[in-house]
Amino acid sequence: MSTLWRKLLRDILRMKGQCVAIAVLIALAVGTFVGFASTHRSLSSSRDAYYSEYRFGHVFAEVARAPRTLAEGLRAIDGVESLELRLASPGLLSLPAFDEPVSARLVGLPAVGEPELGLLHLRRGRWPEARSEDEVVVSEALASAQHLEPGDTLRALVNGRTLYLHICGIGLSPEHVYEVRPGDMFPDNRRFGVLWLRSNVLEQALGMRGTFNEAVLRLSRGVSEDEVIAAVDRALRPYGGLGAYGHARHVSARFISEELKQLEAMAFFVPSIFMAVAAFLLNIIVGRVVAIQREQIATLKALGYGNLRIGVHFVELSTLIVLLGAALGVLLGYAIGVSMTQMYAEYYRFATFRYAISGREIAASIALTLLASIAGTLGAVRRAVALRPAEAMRPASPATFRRSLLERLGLGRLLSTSGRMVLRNVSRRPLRALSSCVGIAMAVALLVTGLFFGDAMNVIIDNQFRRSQRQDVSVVFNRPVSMGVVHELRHFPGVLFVEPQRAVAATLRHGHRTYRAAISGLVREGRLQRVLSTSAQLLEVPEHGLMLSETLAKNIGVKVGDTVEVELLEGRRNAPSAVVTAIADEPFGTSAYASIDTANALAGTSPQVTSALLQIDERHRLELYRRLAELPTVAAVSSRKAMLASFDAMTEEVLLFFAFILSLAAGAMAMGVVYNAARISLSERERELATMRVIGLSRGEISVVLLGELFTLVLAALPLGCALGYGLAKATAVASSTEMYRVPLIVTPRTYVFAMAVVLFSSALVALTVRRRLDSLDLVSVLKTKE
Amino acid sequence: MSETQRDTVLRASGVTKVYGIGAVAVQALRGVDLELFRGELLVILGPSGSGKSTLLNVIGGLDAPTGGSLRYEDHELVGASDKLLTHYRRAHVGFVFQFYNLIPSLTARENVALVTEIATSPMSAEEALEVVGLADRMDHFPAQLSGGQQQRVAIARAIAKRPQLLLCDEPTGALDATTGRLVLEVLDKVNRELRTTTALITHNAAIGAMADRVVTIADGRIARIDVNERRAAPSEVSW
Repeated sequence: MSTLWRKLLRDILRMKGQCVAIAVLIALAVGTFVGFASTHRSLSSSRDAYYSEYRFGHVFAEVARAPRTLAEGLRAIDGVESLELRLASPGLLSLPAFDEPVSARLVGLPAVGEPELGLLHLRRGRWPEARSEDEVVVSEALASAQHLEPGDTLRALVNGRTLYLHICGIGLSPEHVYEVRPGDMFPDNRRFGVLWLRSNVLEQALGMRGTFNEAVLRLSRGVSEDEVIAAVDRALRPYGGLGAYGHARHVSARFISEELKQLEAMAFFVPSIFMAVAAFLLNIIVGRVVAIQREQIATLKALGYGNLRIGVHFVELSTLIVLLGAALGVLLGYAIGVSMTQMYAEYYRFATFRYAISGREIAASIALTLLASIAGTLGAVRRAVALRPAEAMRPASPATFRRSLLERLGLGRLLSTSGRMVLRNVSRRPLRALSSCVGIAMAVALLVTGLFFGDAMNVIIDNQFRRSQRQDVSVVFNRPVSMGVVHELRHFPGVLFVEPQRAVAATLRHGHRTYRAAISGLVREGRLQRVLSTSAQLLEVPEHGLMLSETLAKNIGVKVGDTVEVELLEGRRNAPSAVVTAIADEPFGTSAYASIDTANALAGTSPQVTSALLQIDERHRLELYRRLAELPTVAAVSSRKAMLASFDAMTEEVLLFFAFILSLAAGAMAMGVVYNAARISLSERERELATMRVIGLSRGEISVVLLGELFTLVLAALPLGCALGYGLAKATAVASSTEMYRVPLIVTPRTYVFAMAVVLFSSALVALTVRRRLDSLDLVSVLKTKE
Repeated sequence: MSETQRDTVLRASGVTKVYGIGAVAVQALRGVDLELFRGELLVILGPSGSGKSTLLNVIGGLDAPTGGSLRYEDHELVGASDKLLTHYRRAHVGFVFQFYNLIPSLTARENVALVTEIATSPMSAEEALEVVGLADRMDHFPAQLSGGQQQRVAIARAIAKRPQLLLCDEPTGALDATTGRLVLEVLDKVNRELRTTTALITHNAAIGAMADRVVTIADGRIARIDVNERRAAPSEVSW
């Protein structure tokens, strides 16, 4: 080992506390980067592998009822590689040990053999026997939430008919990786599941022998998806086609790709914060080392060491610290990746979801860290190299001070001598003070930004499920039914109030832009369903014309007063036009609203309803469920309370975990910055503090000077951090808003207070260790040496 | 020596100081007996490493002796708590160092005020600076003062609390002859006018001429104590 290396190692050992602080920050940067990036890659490669191995479709189409003889024509479409035609239907399940109704999607398998597309992965059990009348494969999500096993029996209500089904297997499908009830945002696996059974069962139950209502297509490479979609639409239109769509619009696929998009943003955003702060700390520390070692550098130069060798020596110093951090970071990243993968595995069901860390992520993060290390040390190294030996041998000229701004404004008399020292020290190195301040503020900002997601989520949920939707139970019909059903429901047990809704499936067209939407026909000034803006203002559904959500309006490029064509996907299938009379600034989704009368008028039907919202007397809930399950037109029954409970449970767990991790990281960051600021001040001011002790100031009194300075920095950083956090929250709100939801920019006071408290607490911990160091200040040896 | 000078302020008996333990132990003081009398000016002479600085640090409550007894008036300083030693320094001892040790972020006046703010019956910072002849430099920062001026600020800071003991460790060590004499004049003046017991370490034997007594230390022991019949004026001290 060369002597310079030995010097290097001893220098590092001497400053081990500070080196550890930096290494921890680097570890956090590398850890979050490696963790997020590897999770992103694992998730996306698991998805890709699953999709190709289990033949996930490229184009999906739903149709009211079409003859299987269309198969030939569909296969003949240019670019279609394979085709799966099937029957699917909503159904209601009753499970032996569960009082509430469970909604299900029943999917038909070929009468014999396996489907061509959307293959099932069997976790347990076996496929239903060919043409079996009563065997069913249950989705793993429902099976594990409800503890269903092969051999169990369930009762299903499909199109008003009761089926008794025997579970023969537990499986999953690439079409239901994110298994969520149509229209919902979050999975509720106890109350929704997918069932696969032989198609002859559904043909019989639905009365649709020789027909299909869903088509899935896989395309050859390099084929235009749009052209195939247009051809499929043409072929299915006469049979009640609801409009084909590409896999990007497939619900489950869309949730995954949104998640991936957010993960990608996180993999860039969070590590950058840590890395920036780490680079800044390196800059300060190496700068201080160069200042302390001024004479040593001169001596080395006098001995004949060149500028390059000396420069490299200091870069090596920072590189060593950084590599230590990077090594820790890779381990941390692995831990983050494993736990995130475990969390994802609960909500995204893949046949195989394997987490792996790749060499590329490790290499990229090490390259990044080295870059940060070099960037962080460059300034200090240049100063070291630029010193002429003779100049460097002389002690640096004494620090010059002047009165701080506050004093020049005449406020000096308000300050004690210690207070003046604090202020002058801060204002002598404004840049350093500012960057320490920014570093601490970043910790606050990180917490505010992270916790803001929880705030936003709570607001969304509160608006959506507590203020916008106020029903106790909602009933979805499997086809438009007459208003008479509403009157009938009023006489059901426990029903206090019924509010009808009419959804119309249509493609909205404006010029060449189209969007497939369901127009929600709502009762104006409704009691149970109201439309709320992002800022929770009540939006009134216009009497005439459509109200589009801002996202949808932007999507098809319309503003208030424009006319859109409503290409109906049901009934007469004509294309009446409608005026956009309002734009709704909504946090969720791409919705179109109309009054229930307008909706029926557009559909060209007599007054009909597609769903009903109920307010009920809780004492009759179970009895009501039983009665609803007997109605042949009921496709789904759901309880808002149950949905809220399952949602709260899910978010609470995730958010708490997230807040905990974030607090640790932000705390570590604040501690790193404060500790370094403290150690540097201490090293620069040891002599002056010792002098103060000698002339009779107590330990407490000298602590005031040093800790006062830190406290000033932290205090200044708190509001700055809150402001920065708000800005970052705004940026993330924009970055993570998707077509499916807009994240409202709401940061609660609680979040600010919590963020500041974490940083204050971490700073206080550091202050305690610094105080201990001050208490053991060696008065004699400090005074013996000259500056 | 007059009867009033016989009044003992501090008495050291058999004071020892060992740094380190075992094989690396260094015996800095090997049993020092010394009395400081009220109002006297004592010069301590000795070569480097003789233990004179250690003696001064022990007397000033900066360092704890290993053995022996050290009584300041009615208080035993050996084995005293940090709190008591801090109080001792705060109330009774003034220090002047070779390298001035001013706080760079404070002006001359504020450096002195650092002490007057915590002492029980101090003179004002302005008064103290007047004593050392720096009334016109009160609002200068250390970086704006010459070495001699900085040392006079340090003296003002040391005497502002009206200490019983003024301890000076090589106060002229970093100064040239002219400036050094100026500093000695200030110390002499303080000693005469305020009657502050003053102990001054130097390796410059000539300075001994301005003392009441000259203590010579060698190898951790007091080698001899000389009493001057007449104190020479600082201006007569040869450099």
